[in-house]
Amino acid sequence: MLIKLIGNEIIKIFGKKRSLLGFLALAVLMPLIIWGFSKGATGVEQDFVRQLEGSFIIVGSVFNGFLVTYITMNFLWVHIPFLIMLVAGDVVAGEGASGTFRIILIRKISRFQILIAKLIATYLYTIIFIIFFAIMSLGLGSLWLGVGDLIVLDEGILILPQEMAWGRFALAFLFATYVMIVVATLCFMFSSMVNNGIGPIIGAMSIIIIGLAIANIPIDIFEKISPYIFTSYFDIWQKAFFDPIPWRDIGNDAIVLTSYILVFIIISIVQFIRKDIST
Amino acid sequence: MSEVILSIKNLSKSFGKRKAVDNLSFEIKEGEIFGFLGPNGAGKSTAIRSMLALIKPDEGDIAIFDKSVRKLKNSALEHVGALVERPDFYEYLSARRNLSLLAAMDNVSKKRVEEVLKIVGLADRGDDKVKAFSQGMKQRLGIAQALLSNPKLLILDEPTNGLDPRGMKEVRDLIRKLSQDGITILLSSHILHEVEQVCTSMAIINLGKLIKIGSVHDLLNESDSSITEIKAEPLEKVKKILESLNYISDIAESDGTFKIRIANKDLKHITRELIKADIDVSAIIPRTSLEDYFLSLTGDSI
Amino acid sequence: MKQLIIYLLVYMFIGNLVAQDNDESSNSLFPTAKSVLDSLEQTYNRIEDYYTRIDVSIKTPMLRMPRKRVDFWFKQPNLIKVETKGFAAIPKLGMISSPIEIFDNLSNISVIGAEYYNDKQVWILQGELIPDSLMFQNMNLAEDSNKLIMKLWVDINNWTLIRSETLMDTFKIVEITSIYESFPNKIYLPVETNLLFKYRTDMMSKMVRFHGSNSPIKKSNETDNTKVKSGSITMKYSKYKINQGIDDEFFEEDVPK
Repeated sequence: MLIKLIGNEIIKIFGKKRSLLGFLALAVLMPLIIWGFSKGATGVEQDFVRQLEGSFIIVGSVFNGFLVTYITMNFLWVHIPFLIMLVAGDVVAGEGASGTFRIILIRKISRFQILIAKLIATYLYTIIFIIFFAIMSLGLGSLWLGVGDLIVLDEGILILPQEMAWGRFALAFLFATYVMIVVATLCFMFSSMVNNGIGPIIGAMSIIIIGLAIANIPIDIFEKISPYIFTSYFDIWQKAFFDPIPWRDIGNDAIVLTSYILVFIIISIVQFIRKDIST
Repeated sequence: MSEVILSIKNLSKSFGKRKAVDNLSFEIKEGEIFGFLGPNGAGKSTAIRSMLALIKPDEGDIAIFDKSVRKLKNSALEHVGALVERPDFYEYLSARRNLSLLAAMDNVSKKRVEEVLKIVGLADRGDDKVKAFSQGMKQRLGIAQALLSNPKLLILDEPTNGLDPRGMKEVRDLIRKLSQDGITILLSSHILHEVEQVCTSMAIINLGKLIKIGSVHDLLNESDSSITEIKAEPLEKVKKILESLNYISDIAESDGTFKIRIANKDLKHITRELIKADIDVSAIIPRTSLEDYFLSLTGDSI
Repeated sequence: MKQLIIYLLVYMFIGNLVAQDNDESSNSLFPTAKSVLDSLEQTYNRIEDYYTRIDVSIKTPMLRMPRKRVDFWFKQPNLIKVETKGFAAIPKLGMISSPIEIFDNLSNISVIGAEYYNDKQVWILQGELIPDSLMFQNMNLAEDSNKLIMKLWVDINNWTLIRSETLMDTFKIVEITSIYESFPNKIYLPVETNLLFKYRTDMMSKMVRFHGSNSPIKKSNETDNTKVKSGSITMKYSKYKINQGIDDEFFEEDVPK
């Protein structure tokens, strides 16, 4: 039955135009960005190279599809979460707004099952979206601009060999997917509380922006509370590019993020099961 | 003795300070077409939502086929189909797709989807998106989704809302047919004439409290006055006589028919008076309408 | 008598020669820096051109590069060509270079000692380093910097520079060691060169700092000014082809950046 319910939710999610907005945005923007890089990347490369020229003989070019992908992965801080929230925020609240709770919640299926199905469908959407992002950035970028060594900023410049870069990107996108699942769960939690699809998006987006700001501002009190805010662990995907890969740190980050996911899910379930449906 | 299908005991629900349902209790027996009446804000919708686990009551419980809704929640709704207020669907999907999603939840086959579409007369519009449907079509689709699981108890809230007279008649006929097929029906409606025509029993609530409950026939006969139609001539003479009688009120004439309000006990006197006055009486028909009865109980307009 | 006078004259003459050769050295047993340079230069000049494959590994605060393979060609006096798949950065410091270039960066250079180093007889030279010439230009040293001393260990058997140290006061900031292989015609080329360097952040007036990519999540930066940072670079040379008579046209650029 859960599989059927998930199938239902997938049909509902992808039946809405707003769900395709994110894909459309990436499909239009990414080729544009890559084209822009192909035309004016020398400045970017020079920035990287300038600092090394005095002490090193520089050979080859760092400009390739990997570099462009690495740069565009910074969309994962704000832009990609927003596009995911467009769906996650509406998946429960939208039913309340449209009145369709009155046809789905009067059946013998428990609210718990329905909510879990919605949550899993939201996760599936998130995973598909990140895969699409990976295809449009890494796939398209590597086809258009070629591949080579990857230059990353990790307390200095780190050059990762081409053969290592593919694996690192796979790892980075995997971790990024997990971060986006946290984002989706947060927005889903708000969605289960209200009957308006916009509120959860605004609420979740505000929390993420504030959390990132707190992690960025070097004030004592912020530095003290930063470890307790889940957004402080959103950089887990960048650690895939560190050398050596800090597996212990990544493990700790994953545990913290998982804890937050579980808390958000529990709140969603308790809230949704006890809620009076008045719309 | 018919089995009790739905039992409401001491149901109460408040929203803030306002008590929407106040100690409501009644039962619906198997095979009944049960009317649920009340003015706006009487608590009908709250009661229906409580039956369907959409709202959690503050006190009391509802049992459907002996399964407590409060304890078992949605599991108690296995044999229930319902249409709650205005039917809302996923407008970006077709009618058939909407019903398919719900059929998956009810664990019924796609064949059943086609059956219910045919029952409500939407078989040829199944592939159209719901956003293109008129209110009447949505209403019919709402009834269709209520029938998907072959329910034994059907709860219909305003099922003829938005339908034209022909559509209304079709729904009434459908309700009668379903009842004949053994389905117990709870019908909440503001169209009293409709309840009068279709229902076998009814409950009237106001301000969250149960006012009256019983068979429609018995309740109407409880009324101590009725509207009586008199067809007699000459009209002027009839009017004069009627106006002279102090036990008659509310005299109205239309197309040669007089309508008067008269106490039931005085009905026999009017016949004698008219004959004594040498009036040609072709018909004296006492009509007790549910609307009159309802208004007398609630003192409210609909 | 006559023989004694001749012996005395010869001894004085030789002793005078030795004294004249030792311009800065107070010890007449050590050679002059110039003579060491000449010997080094002689060894170096036997190489007209060469090709080598270099596996470079860089671990510094500024730049890290796991093992990268480059193809390197050189022709006297200063033509180089480097090719690699992708991108590579090869440190200028530590590359095979003319001894004259090294000595030109030093002043007051003299042979200060001799020892056995890794079972090799070596002369130890010391000079004052001219700061502007330091190849790690990004480590801009404080303008009123402390004295910079460079020490060189020269293998006297094959006249190769096998080790160098650069010190700021007594704090060693750079150490370069090389292991050589001998080739026909008394040619010696390194098979491995290791650069180690350390510096205290309080010694530097400017540092290149990277704040960890574009991440809006910034970890606490180190504020401890006495922290010692270190780094290493390893270069392993292989597949030498020496004196193949490479044409100048082969080198598209004179000296790459």
